[in-house]
Amino acid sequence: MSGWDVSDADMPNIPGSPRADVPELPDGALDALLTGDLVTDEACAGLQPAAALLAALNAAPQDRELAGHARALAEFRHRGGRPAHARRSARRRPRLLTSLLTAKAAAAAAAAAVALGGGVAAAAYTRTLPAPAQQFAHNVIGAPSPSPSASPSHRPGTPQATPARTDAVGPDATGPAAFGLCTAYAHAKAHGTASQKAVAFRNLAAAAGGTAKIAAYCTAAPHPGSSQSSQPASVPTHPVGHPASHPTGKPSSHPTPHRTGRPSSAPTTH
Amino acid sequence: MIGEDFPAVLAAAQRGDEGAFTVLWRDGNPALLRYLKVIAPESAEDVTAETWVTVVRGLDRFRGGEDAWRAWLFTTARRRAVDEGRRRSRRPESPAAEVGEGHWPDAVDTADQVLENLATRAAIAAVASLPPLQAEVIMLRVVAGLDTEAVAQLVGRSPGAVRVAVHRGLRRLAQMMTEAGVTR
Repeated sequence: MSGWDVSDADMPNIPGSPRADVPELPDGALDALLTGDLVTDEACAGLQPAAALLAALNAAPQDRELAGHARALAEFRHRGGRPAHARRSARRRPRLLTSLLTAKAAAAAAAAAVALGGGVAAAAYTRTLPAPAQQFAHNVIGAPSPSPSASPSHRPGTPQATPARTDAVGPDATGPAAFGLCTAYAHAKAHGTASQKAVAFRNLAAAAGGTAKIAAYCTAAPHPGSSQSSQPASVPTHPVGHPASHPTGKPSSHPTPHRTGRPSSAPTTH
Repeated sequence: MIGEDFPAVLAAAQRGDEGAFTVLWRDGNPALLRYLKVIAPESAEDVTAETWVTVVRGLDRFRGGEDAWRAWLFTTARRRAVDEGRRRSRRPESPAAEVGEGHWPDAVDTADQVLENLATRAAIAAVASLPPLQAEVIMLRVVAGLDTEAVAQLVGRSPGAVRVAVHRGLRRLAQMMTEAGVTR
């Protein structure tokens, strides 16, 4: 096809301008507009004022644009008619949690949380995020770590929604040691060499009792010094109510103090 | 955009990890909503939710990188918008002129005020005031982050036609901004 198949219906917005006056926009010119660079291509002269509008199109998400999460997550949990945790146990490969993402992604998520005007950050502080996301928020912005009963996946009256986490606790591997191993891996993944990543991963897998159990292991790992650290990292028998009524602080007062994970101070099982 | 972690996030989501799915959802949902506000303004929220239903059901079968993922998301959204348009017995290709809220400010004092008031909603409304093809390709290029080839495939036009439509749309938007007093 040629570049001439735009129908007449699509071109009446600039009265009197012949078709030939509007050439194809080079992809680089749009990229320049989007990144705030000056558009130098002569064919694109005059487009610069649109840059601010394009920036607004791509502005950080607003709270209302994240309001459908619960609905989508419910759909996700019941895809194929099976609860998500039933699917997990059938899988062989290790799971990579958001808590094991790179520092870059962590920083981006933290920035996004701040840019949200506190919506997600507030959710993190009220422990209403899913457990992995809560752990992630905990590591990144210092929100409370997820207690097993605090995730939306663990609503009262839906006992099947509690992940089977009891088999994830390795010998002497709860508490600060677990947290250390998990953060050490996250740090190695972000900053380390391939061999450092491999070592950290191997240590973590050994402590968790297998690569397939890493995710649950790190989800259950309490943050040293947090109110959760005195609790066993096993499944509670009594899911408690929705915790949204317990905000504990202002997200904006917490930059990213935990992101680097302090691997040098992390206790190790070896 | 999720970036280098995308393969790991996708794989985790496909294994049922809710945190990983949340990462995908948070990355995609605002862009989907903004796109659908332009092509299906009266039902953007519903169509966005329906899009995720379809995506979740097909998640296990999806293979590809982040570019392919986003192309799939927005292709799905477009199909759901077309379905919704049929349900409403009107052409889904012609909703752009019906946007009622977030009108472009017609009385403006200073450029700073324009920038200050240049909320995302107003920007979306400005794009939605363009002819439908121009509006859609700009949203797909700018908000969905798709490249020209992917946009061309999605809207069933040639890459050249997409580039021309983007150019036309941007010219009009720049003209609106200039008329509104924004000179930067």
